[in-house]
Amino acid sequence: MKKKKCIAMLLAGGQGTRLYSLTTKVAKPAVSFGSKYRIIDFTLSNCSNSGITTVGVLTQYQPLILNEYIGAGEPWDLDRANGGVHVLPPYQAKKGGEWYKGTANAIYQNMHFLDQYDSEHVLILSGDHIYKMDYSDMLREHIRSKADCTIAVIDVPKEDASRFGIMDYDENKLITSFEEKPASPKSNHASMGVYIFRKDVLINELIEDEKDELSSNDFGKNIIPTMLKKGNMLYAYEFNGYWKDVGTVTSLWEANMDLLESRFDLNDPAFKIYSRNEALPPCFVGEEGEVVNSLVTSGCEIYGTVINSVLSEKVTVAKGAVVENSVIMRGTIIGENANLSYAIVDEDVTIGDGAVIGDEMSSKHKITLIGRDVEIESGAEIESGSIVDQEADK
Amino acid sequence: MNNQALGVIFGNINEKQIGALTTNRSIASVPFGGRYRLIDFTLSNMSNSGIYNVGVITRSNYQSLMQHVGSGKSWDLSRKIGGLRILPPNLDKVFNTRWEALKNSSHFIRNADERYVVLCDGDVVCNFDFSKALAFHEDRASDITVIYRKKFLGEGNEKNKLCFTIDDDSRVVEAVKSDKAKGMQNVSTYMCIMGREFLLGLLENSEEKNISSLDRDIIMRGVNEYKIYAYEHKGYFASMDSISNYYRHSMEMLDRNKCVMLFDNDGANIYTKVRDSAPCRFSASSAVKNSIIADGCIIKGRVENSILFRGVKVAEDAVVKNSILFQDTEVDDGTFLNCVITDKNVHILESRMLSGHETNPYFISKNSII
Repeated sequence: MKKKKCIAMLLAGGQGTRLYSLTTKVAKPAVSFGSKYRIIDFTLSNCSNSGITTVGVLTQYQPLILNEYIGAGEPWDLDRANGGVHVLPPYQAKKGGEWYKGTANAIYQNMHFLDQYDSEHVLILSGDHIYKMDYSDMLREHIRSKADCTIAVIDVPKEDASRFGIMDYDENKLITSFEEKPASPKSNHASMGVYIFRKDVLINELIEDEKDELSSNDFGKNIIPTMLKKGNMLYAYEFNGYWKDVGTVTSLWEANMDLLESRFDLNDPAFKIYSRNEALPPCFVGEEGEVVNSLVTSGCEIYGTVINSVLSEKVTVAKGAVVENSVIMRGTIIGENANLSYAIVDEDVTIGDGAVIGDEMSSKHKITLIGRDVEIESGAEIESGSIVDQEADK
Repeated sequence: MNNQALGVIFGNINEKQIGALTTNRSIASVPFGGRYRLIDFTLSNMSNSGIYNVGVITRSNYQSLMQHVGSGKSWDLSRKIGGLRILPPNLDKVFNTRWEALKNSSHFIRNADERYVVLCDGDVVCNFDFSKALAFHEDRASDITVIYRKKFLGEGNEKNKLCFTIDDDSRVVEAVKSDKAKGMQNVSTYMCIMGREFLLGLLENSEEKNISSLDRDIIMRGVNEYKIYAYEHKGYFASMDSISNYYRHSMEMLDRNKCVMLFDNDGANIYTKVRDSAPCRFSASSAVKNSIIADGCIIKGRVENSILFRGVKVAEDAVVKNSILFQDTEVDDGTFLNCVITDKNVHILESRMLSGHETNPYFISKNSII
């Protein structure tokens, strides 16, 4: 088997607790996004578009839907004879198995995968960001600078900096300091959680880190700071495109709305975002339908009004219903004369006739969240900012 | 028993009738319904019915068809056992009829080991479960099972189609051409089932038996000689025998009942090649009514009673009515279209006024700039 220059390890086990009911049944990377995509499509498409054809996807929390979604990787052109996409769940080894303790431990537990492909470099990715990035350019820089590790960096607003790993680097992009989620950040250069390691360096570091019982086995908290301390060469790779962490309800909503404002272009034929889609006829807008400043996709039927919203596959908006500033995920049916504003409605929800979701207090900071498979009764009124899920129903 | 049938599709049948749409493509790859090609229906029907060994007989202009079907993956027909095969012509023997086409591809039928062969025209639009028809065929121990639909034949429509008279047991007792039949008729859908050995026998003895047409020499002439039974298709059905008919059938897709019948028959969906377009984007100035809009479209203007394929762009102040715009058509500012069919990649510049009539839609050929 011909060795690859670089393979990718994609961390997709995130629980996504701040997405509340959206992640009770699915892992965060499998949450729907941008009408016909799931969050993980962006990272997988980036790999495919960057010529990285071996991808290990590390799953853990609620992996079933994610596993089924990834399948053999055909939608992303990652069904390969040599390499391709492989789902790597935690497993029971002879010495016993355990859940991944941290991001670094997840890779540690799958070291056999790295050894099997034995590439020169390893790209570490996380499956919960929305962005388009050509990793091959970063890999070129990584090879040119002979770095032990290269970290993708994006400048974030000062006020957000303490949510990220923050670093400093010199004019040669050599990293001089790195702090994970610092209380008082020294800069606004944030780590995107995208790393390229020399494989031998990575393996060494993972083994060392595993021996340290005090370590939380995390790249940002442990591996990177330790390497810096030891004098390894870590370089920054600056990224200037659109990049959004969709870890909270508000940021998920905002990222969807960014598509409507054309802040992020899905329509670039040279850098397509691929996804697995069901066989559905194109969307239909009825005689009284009205769709304004919105994204709509296959299988949708619109008989009511849709304004500033993002609708996934197979969403039906009945006559007289008004959907405004909302994100509606696949298979949801919105009954006649229902009214939704600033809502995120998960998959296969039924909103009864005349139901009102949200109120005059609705805003992007007061998004109403309706969980998967929920049935909202006709005429029900749901206060803005509330979360309705099946558990709460019982 | 499902995998006991081999599928054969005629990729170039009836092309002359539909004229302009088949200048650059075979009839089987004519676009339909916003994101499909005609052959998607038959390939999906076969795949949904468990027929996984399918040959598509092509004669001419089949590049677009080959590009569309690829390895057959989209229809789950990229198989280790069986799968999709394109059967191109033998250049020495150009064929025109279904029978000649079959003779030309008889090696495919001979080398298979399925018990039955399902024959189907490439322009058939329906959602049909062959497995039920195959069970019927087996039950009657028929030589040939023709699939028909009930249709009222008025003046001038359905030229040259076979019509069947059937007895109480659904056996065909007479078959005539549609110009000799009026009123409510059992009209052929041009889908039929035969025993593979039976078909091979006819193919091998076709000279002696003086067979050159499937319709005339086997079915019409053979109603007494062979056991020919008829099985009814009750759902939506269309086949394309003229450009105005193509237009009319396309517009039927705006009728939700017909659309549901066609695209979701008890969970059996119609598959097509994926293009990975972005979702359809409706801008702040868009006004869309009673239309089918595929992914990848960017709509800024007014669209009414129309079908827009993937990647169509309609500029602000443009009006598109009663029209069918194929993939990547661009309509510029201030332009008005009515009863127009644009082929792929047509660009209609600013402030054009183009109008056809529903009985004679205005067709604009591929890559034109108007």
